[in-house]
Parts: sequence; structure tokens; C-alpha cells
Amino acid sequence: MRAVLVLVFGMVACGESGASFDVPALNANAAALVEARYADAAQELSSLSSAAEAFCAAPTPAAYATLVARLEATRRAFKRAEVFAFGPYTDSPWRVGPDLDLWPAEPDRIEAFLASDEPLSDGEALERVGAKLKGLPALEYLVHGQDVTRPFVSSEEATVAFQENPRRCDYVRAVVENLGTRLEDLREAWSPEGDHYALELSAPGSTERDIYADAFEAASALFEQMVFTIENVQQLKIGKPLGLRTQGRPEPDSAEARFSERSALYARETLAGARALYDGTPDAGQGIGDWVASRSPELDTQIMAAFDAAEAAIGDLQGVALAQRVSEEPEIVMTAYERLGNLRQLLVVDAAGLLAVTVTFNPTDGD
Amino acid sequence: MTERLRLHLATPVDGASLVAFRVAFGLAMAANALRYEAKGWVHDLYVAPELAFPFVEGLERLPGPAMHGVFAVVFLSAIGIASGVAHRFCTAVFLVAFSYLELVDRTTYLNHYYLVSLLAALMLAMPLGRSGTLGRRRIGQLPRWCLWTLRLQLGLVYVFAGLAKLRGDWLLRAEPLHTWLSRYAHAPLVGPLMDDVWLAYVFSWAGLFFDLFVVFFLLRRRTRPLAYAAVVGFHAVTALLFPIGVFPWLMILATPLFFEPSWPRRLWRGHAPPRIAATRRLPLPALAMLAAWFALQALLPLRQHLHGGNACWHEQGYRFAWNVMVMEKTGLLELRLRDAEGGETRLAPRELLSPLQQRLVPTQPDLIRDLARQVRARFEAEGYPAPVEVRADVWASLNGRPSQRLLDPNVDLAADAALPEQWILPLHRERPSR
Repeated sequence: MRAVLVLVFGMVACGESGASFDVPALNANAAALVEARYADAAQELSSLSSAAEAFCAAPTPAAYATLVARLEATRRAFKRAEVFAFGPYTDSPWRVGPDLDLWPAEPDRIEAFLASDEPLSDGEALERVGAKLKGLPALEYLVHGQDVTRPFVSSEEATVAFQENPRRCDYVRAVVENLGTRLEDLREAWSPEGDHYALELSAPGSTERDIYADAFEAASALFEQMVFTIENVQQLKIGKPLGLRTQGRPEPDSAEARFSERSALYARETLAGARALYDGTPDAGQGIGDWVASRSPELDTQIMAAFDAAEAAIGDLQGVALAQRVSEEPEIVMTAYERLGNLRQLLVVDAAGLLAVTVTFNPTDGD
Repeated sequence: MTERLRLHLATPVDGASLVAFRVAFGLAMAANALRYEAKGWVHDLYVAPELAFPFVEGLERLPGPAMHGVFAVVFLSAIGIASGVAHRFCTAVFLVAFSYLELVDRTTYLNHYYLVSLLAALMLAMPLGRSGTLGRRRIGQLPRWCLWTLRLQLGLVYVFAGLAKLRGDWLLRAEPLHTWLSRYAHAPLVGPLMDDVWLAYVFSWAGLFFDLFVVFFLLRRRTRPLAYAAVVGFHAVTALLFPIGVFPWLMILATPLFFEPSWPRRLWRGHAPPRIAATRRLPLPALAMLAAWFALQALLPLRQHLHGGNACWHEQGYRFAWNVMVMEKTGLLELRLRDAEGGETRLAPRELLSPLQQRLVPTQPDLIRDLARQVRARFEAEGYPAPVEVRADVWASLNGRPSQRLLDPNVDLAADAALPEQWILPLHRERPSR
């Protein structure tokens, strides 16, 4: 039906036309960004795998430190990709996400599994276990958790723990291998060699899945996903540990990465991933910000400043474990929460209204 | 004068156009009920949401299977209306079931579904089952008041929809149409045209004049063909451009009521029944009821002006007023709870509301207040020390204006006493800064 409209208006379209934002280019750029983000994650995961093998072959504090560094780099790469946690990440038949990063970790269950005699020979051994027993959060607990209440205090202590329980290393290797398999599944789902989900963004309406009717719908979904990601950072990664859902009582155990004490770092990386979608890619790819700027340069400037302020506020949380910050310095955690709130306000209220994107889908007939 | 009016309204006219309308209405409503099931909207809008916002306190949603059952009842009764069999029974059942769906949750309110309920209520009073039914196929005559009642109802919708467009945003900024049309800016060929503000002005002003005057052109024999072509064109374009569901088709099917009452006979070359002179007048109580009905219909849309300010912003008296497609509004809401022991909790709508509700509630003050009250009740029931105070940090933007606070963040919305004027903040930025 819309094709008819296009033809009808196309016939009468003439004269001077306005400068329109290239929505399909935004979508195509986002699809390319997905591929790049997961390629980064795969590269980091490969390095992590090597580090895990090296550490398990010869557990030393130095090898442990390398393992920790590679794990951090891998998680950061995944956090930068979190804004693309839709489609194959969340939906059937793929639904890869929970196996990759269902946080926070549940140490009791991981310890019980570690103490069991369940096979841990390779990544496939984890295929049938629940998502809470694998993925990056479980890996982080295995690498950083002394026990269910506290992290290792030194590389030496950690190395001894691994030496005393070789099954812990088997578990680490199995999780890393399983992560690699799942990530490949995810990349294949997006790639032309696989299910080519990227077409949903770059050529909406052309696939049998028919997820988005047209380029605007696909761009709206990207906008919504960006906003959703920022809301997750604000509400779940900052607000929940701060106790904003529990009558003001801090919930340090709900921090995303409490055993590695990198919750704020990962929150910042997640926000950076969302911002990449807003900014576009360095090689002149269009971002949501270009779309906003095409309607209101002033609003775009405000949003960029709000991103800066939020990133800076989360940056201020680093250096001390978030679990400790929420109890000892709740005011600076609150500042980060409020800056993220300002950013959401500009996006959800001002930008969404200006672009007429639907921040939550509206399935019914609206007037 | 009254006597002549009563005689005039009771005079029989060819019932063909009324029968055609009845059939079209019934089939359209049956198709709409099927559509809701097919698209999963019954579940998404009426079953899945944890919370509801009924128009009438105490009116509750039925359990899931029963809500599907209500749609089945709507479907069957609509088919009954189309068939003409047991007209009053089917129409009454349809009216009750359809209106229940409308009243049980304000977040599903739509102007055109309100119109459906009004038309069904009027049809219930009409003897539309006398002829042109599956049982009695021959179409006879029906009293003139039936035809003119429906015409007047439709006319009021158009005229008030036009009056609702007499706003600065619509006339002077071409909003929200400019924003909505730019949605098609990426389309091949037509894209640049759709993004140009002059087209939005053309659409805005054309829409205004269409709504205000089309009824008068439909009433005149000479202008009727052109006016109906405009009706078809206008509604077809709106159906293609905007997600307004069954409304355009309903109006295209309903406006032939303004034609000569015998117009359907041209389609099958049937003969009109012989003219019969009125033998009795419309009963005075019936005339009084019609007068009261239309007085109410004329006054209801005006009540929004009692509140002053911009009704699109405060939305007091906004519903049931034919404010059709006059605003693009976005909002962001966070509820702040404070229990009796000073414990503070913050809640985002995502934790409580369905996707549709998440979009609508943060922009509508009365829904936010109801949400606050439901949240208070829930949290007190969960053991939070009572009384739990609920305040709202809510920002909204109307037709592209910069965001501003919609409600006073210091007012406990869960408390009973406050009047809307005390907690809804005025729209202080009448002109957008960008």
C-alpha cells in the first residue's frame, strides 16, 4: 500500500526539496557496527582463551594477572556491544544472550557446580547447564571469587586456589570455549554466510522474517535499543546497587561485576557502546546524533554534553568497588544516576518527540 | 415548530442507505475484532498488562480467557448487526461488550472506538431490524430521524475534529504533521517532499478545512460527489500514512449516509418502496432524548476549555472531545516512593507497565495519578510502612517543544486531596526554542 503512496506522491513531487537525513545509511552503518563489535569481542575472546590455557598449563601470579587483564578486555568488548542485544541475542531461534552474559553471577550455584562431579572436559559439557553456570559473569566469579562473599585479594592467593583445585581451571577453559561457540553462533546469525540478520537493518522489509516494515521502523528500533541500554545502565547497573529499588538500602550484591570490582568500568563501556550508535563510526558513518542534528543542532549539542557528563560521572565511580561506593559515598553514585537521567530525558522526551520515533512500540491504532 | 419537527422526523424515508450502513458497520466491527485477535493485541493490551486504568472505578479486567471471550462476543454480535437478525439484541450485546473494552482501560482509549460506541447506542434505538435482514430481505422504509441522527452524529465528529485543529501548533507550526510526515523522508522519490514543511502546512490547512466543512458539502446535492471523493481521498491518505486502524474505513463506509437514502438501490437497480406519508409524530419523550443526547455531544468536547491552558498538555477533558491527531507527545516518568519510615524507592514504568502503557502513561497526568495510587496500594500490601507517599518526576514534550516538567514533583499523587490544577504544571514554553 505504501508503494502506491510513494508512486502517487512521486508523480507530483517537484520543485525544491528539503535536506533529509539518510535513515537507511544510519541502519546500514549500525549493521556494520554490529559486525565490528562482535569481531572485536571474538578477538579479545581468542586472547582470553590463550591466556586461560597458559595460566592453566602453568599457574603463576604473572599468568593469573594476564588472565585477569584479558578477561577485563573481553568483557569490555562485550559491554561495548551490549547496545546490540536484540534480534539473535534475545530472540528465538538463536537467543544467545543469556549464555553469554546473564548477570549478576550466582556464586552459590557456581560453587555447587564446581564441587560436583559434572563433566567439564570442554565447552560442550556446558551446553546443557543453565545460563547462570556459564558465560562471562560465571567466568568472572571463577577468576576473581575467593568464595561466595569476597574476591581474591592477590594474584598469589588466586594462583594457590587454582593450584589446589584443578577443576576450577577446567571450568574456566570450558566456559571460555563455550563462550567462543556462542559468540560464533551470534556472529553467524548476523552474517551473510549465516542467517544474515543484518539485512533487517540494512534492507528492512526484504526478508522473510519481516522484522521491520521499512527503514524508519528499523531506525526507530535502534533508537529504542540505545535508550533501553542507557536505562539499563542507570537503573540496573547504578540505581539498583545504590538501593533505589529497596527503600534506600544499598544492594552491593546486585553490582554487575562485584568480584572483579569493575562494575563502574563496565557500566561506562556499556554507555560508550550506546554512544557509538549515537555518534556513528569514525569513518563517516551516520549515527543517531546526525539524525537529531538534522532536526535540531541545538538538541544534538545538548545530548552530546549529557553523554559527556554521564560518562564523567561514571568515571568518577571507578577506582573503588561500586559495592563499597554505594555504602560509603552514595552521593557520587547518585550523581551518576542523575546524569544518566538527564541524558535519558533528552533522548526519550526531546529527541524521540522530534524524530517521532516510538520509544516503546505501539501496536494499536493511535489517534 | 416542535410539532412540525416531530412530524418531519417521523416521516418514513427509504431505508436502503441505513441498511447499507448497518451491514457495513457490522462487518467492519467483526473484521476489527478478528484483527485484534490475529495481531495478538487482545493478549498484549487486555491480558498481559499487570495494571489497568479503568474509566469507572471498580471496573476490572476479566481473566485472560474471558477477555478473549469478550472479543468473540463482539465479533458474533457484529456479525449479528450486519445480518439484521435480532437487531436490538445483537446491537445491545455489541454495545455492552465493546464499551466494556473501552471503559476497562483508559490506555486503550481511541476516539474512533468512542464513535463506534456512540453509533451502536444510536442504532440500538432504531428499528433497523425491520427490513433488509437475512430473514426479511426486502428493504422498506424507516423513519427519517434514524438517518438524520446518524448524520448529525457523524457531522459533530468532523466539525469538532476541525475545531480541535484551531490551535497554534496545527495552524502556525504545522505540527504534529510536519514531524509525522518526516517519518517518510527516506522514501524513494517522495522522501524530500515529505520532509518539506510546506507539505505539512498544506496537509494541516487542508485537514482543517476538510474537517470543518466536508459535512456541509456532503449535505448539498451539487457538491456531494466532490465531497465524497474528498472523503475517500482524505481518509485513504491518512490510512496509508498513519497507524489509525479501522477509523478511515469506518468513515468512508459511514459517510454515504449523507447521500440520497435510496443510493444503494442504484447498485442493484432495485425499486424504492412507495413513499408513505407520516401518520404519526415522533413521540415527545423520544425527541427530548435525542435533544439531550446531542446537547451532551455538543457540550462534552467543550469541557476541555473549562480548564484553561493547553488541553493537549494537561489533558483535562481531553478525551471524548474529538481531539484527533493533534499532538505528538513524549514523556519520561520516574515514581519516587517514600514510606512512613523514610525509606525511599524509585520505580521506572518499565517495571510496572506494558509497552503501550509505558508510552502513554508518562504523558497523561490522570494516568500517572492513578498509577501512583495503585503503586501505593501495592507497596503497602507488600509491607512497606504505611502511608507510602508517591511523587512523580515526569518530563514531557508537546509537538516538538523542549521538554519540561509535567507535574509538580513535590505533590504526593497518591494522596486524595490535591486537585489537578495543583499538581499539573502549566506549559510554560508555548513557543519552541528550536
